[in-house]
Amino acid sequence: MSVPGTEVRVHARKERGQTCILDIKGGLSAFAEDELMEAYNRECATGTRNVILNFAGLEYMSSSGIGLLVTLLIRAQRRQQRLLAVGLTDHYREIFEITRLDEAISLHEEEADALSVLSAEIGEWIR
Amino acid sequence: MTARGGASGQPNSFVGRDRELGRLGELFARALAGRGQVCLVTGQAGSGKTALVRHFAEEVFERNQDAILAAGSCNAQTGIGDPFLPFREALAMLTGNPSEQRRMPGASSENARRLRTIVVRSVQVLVDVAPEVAGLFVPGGKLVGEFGKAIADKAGWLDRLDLLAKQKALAEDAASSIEQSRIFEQYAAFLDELSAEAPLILFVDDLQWADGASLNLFFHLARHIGQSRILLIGSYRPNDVALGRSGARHPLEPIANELTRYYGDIAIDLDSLPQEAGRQFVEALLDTERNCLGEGFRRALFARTGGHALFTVELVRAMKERGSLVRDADGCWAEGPALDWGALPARVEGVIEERIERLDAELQELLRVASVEGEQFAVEVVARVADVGERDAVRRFSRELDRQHQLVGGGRPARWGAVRLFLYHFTHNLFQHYLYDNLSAAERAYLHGDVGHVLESLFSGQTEEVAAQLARHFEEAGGTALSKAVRYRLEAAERARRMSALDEAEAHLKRGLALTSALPQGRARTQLEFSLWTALGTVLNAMHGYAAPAVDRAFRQARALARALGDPPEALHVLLAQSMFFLMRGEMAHAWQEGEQVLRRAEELGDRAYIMTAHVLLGTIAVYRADYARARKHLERCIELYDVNRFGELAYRQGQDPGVVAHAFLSRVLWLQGYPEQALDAGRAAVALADEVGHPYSQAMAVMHLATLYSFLRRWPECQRAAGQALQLAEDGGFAMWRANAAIIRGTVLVHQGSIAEGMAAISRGLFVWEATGAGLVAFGATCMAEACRLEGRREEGLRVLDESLYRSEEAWWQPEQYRLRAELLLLAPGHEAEARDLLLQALDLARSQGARSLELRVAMSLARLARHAGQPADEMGALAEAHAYFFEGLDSGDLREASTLLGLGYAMEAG
Repeated sequence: MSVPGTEVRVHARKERGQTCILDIKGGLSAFAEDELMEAYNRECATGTRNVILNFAGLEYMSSSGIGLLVTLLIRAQRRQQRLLAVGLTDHYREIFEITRLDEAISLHEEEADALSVLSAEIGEWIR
Repeated sequence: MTARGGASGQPNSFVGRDRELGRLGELFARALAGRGQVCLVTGQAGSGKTALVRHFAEEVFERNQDAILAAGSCNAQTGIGDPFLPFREALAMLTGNPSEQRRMPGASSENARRLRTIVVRSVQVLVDVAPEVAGLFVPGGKLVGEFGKAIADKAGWLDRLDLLAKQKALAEDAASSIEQSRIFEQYAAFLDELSAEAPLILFVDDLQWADGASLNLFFHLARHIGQSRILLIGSYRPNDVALGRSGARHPLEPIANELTRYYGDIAIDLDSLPQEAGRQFVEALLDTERNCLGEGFRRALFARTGGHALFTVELVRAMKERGSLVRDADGCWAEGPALDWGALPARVEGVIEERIERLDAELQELLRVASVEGEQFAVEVVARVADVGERDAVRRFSRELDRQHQLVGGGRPARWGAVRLFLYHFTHNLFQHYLYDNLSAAERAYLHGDVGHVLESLFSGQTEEVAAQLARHFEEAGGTALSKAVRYRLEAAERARRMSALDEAEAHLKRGLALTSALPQGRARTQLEFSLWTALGTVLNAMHGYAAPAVDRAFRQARALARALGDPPEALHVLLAQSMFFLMRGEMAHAWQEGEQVLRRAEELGDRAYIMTAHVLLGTIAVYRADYARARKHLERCIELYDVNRFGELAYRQGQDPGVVAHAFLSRVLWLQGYPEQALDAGRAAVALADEVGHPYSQAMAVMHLATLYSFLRRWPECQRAAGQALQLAEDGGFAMWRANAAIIRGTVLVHQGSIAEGMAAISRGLFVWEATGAGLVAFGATCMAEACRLEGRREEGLRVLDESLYRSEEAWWQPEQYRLRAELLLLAPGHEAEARDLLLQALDLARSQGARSLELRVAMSLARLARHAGQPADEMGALAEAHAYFFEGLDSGDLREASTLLGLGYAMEAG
């Protein structure tokens, strides 16, 4: 069996002031840590309330990739930020559900869905 | 259509519903045959859900001499924050508390008689099969008092009840809790056993207001009564459920869906009855008394009410009172001269308004105060708030509001220790809602404050019994009462935690935190916030594991607040939790630093429990850092200090038993150092101690460690049994981390038994769940997967898994094995022998420097096999013989047996 590509590219962009979007393309594994955290620190660490993880370009995610997302979640929560995820395939959506990560990272089909939820809930922290 | 006589509740006549009664009858017949059934009765407010079940029970009593009914109702005001409320009420009914008959007034006399005949047996069963449920659920704190000493003495088990009462007090002192799964199992076992004596209808009303723990118990019972003589009925309002809860999906919705999937169509929907059923209800109601009401009147009445049960009953009552319906000379009800459809209320609220407004001013005031207390209220509280004499209030409630106006019912005494109150309830919650909704904001605030203060003084010294209610009243009162609201949220959360109702505890604490922002800045507020965050961290820890982001957040907040308070002694718990967080995240340097702080601070405070815990913590960290001498020093010190009689309750405060952890990790060190038999002894001692302490999390941990040890020893049958046991414990207790760990070990067993694909799937799933808990200790799980990949020939995948774990982990203890497996995987492709050998030599040096004899032996075996493969068997035999020579025990265990064979084979080839 061939191992899917483990190369990852993460592009960060700001959206509507306090929201930052991380477009994740390729494979998300332990080796993606530098790329992911650098993008996060560069664009999302300050002045951001919500971080949307866009998985539309995700090819592969290992269990360590899930661990990496938990690390990101810890960092985001320390900055009082909220994490959302969009563009997950059914397979990875199921993994989020099995691992109950969907309870901490809210899942949405499209980026627009996540943005509209944020517009409605802005200012809310303890729910 | 048969007209039926009225009951004292609302609606006061039960008519129609033959089809629904028939359906319930069929279900009960199956339950009687030992095939327990579940039914969900749904309908909007006032549609007659409660009346249907009540009347069904009456019908059952006519046909069956033994059947009994137990019922509990969820509370709109405090239900979500009052764990297991309906099940506590039902239990109290079954164990002879007459105040709990109030929900079923129509069935009370016959049902109460039947319950009295079995009370001795039911209490005996409770004590035998559900002692912890008895301690937690029966209100009042004094079990013996609750059940009645006379009965208990007669039945010959007064001593056991006394013991239970003492155990309960002990548990309260220790702030202990029992796991929710045990509550569920014991409650189900109690009902099952009782239903063997008397077929049981268990009715849980108004599930739309149920707390999460009650919903989970309802679901558990629904899935476990299949062989009992029990008909479990739940009722709810689908419209309320559709609205969700706290912005999320209502927790009842997935439960109802799952039950439907499991049992098929179990719903009786009173809203979707065909139009003719509503019309039949109108007809039947009118025909309960002699009348000469024509088709026109009947059509108009149906057009007005749509057959809505409460509205129809109340409108007919109003028409009689107004003179719109009058008796003619023959005593038949007929249209009166005053009948004016245009002047009649168009909605049920209008009818209620008319009924209330016809009462005198003092009765209206009493009801308004009662509505602030809730759907159920204590007349003594109402009297004190309304400044009316208690006897006078009792008289007016029982004679006028109950018997004459039928707006309230109940009036039976309830006891909480020394407190005795007479409890009433509104005969329909729409009455209470109407009264409450019509109070101005200012009236509500003042009345809530007054009710809160009266309750507080009545329950002085035992406010935990009503903590959720007090929190709500003081919150609604606002202003200076808010700080009290926060304190009672803390108290309610602690009560919920002890019942293992963790969702409810979390909700109370989060609400408390939200309220603190309205309190004035200062030390008192900081102290409250510190207590709330600490309690929240502890609750979240039990739910999600030590390394979960939410746990980190809670304890970080608590730590910051502790600093602002000058590091009070209670902050030690926060320090400990933070060290555990870093340990589980795999951040060993941080964990060690924090652990040393815990030890220093505990020694300063002379706190022996925390000194012991700090030793076990440092010992555990040292294991992962492969510093085995230090690990043994700390673990053995902990074992030395530990005394199960003195510290057996610590697990309930700290989350796991320090003695159990010390034995479990000592067993790991002993195996690593080359003492497999002593390791087994320590592992078994951990399990025995965990069983003695009876703390489920510690039990799961101990059995999991033993399973892991069996995997080290390659004793697969024992490993499989222990992993299965650990998985069961983890699933019962909801321990995500141990569930993941057990899945990995079970997968590993499957792999070694030849079911490689199945085993790999289990390991993979376990690894995902493990990582999602935030746990960074990934080295062992990764090697389980890598070994499976090696056996399956999936070289690249195995290498990637290993490389990821080596890249991330600070776990020195398992590195020799990670390197060894990497070398084995490299060898799956030709041309990598030199690279593999270098890696094995590196692993050998590392294992030797750590004193990890068992890992050294494994590496030496791999080197020997490589040399043999290269046709130079003698090259590495020295290293293998040296490693093997360290062992004096467990010589028949997996690796040692294989090493002996390899050595024999190697020497044989050399000699040849």
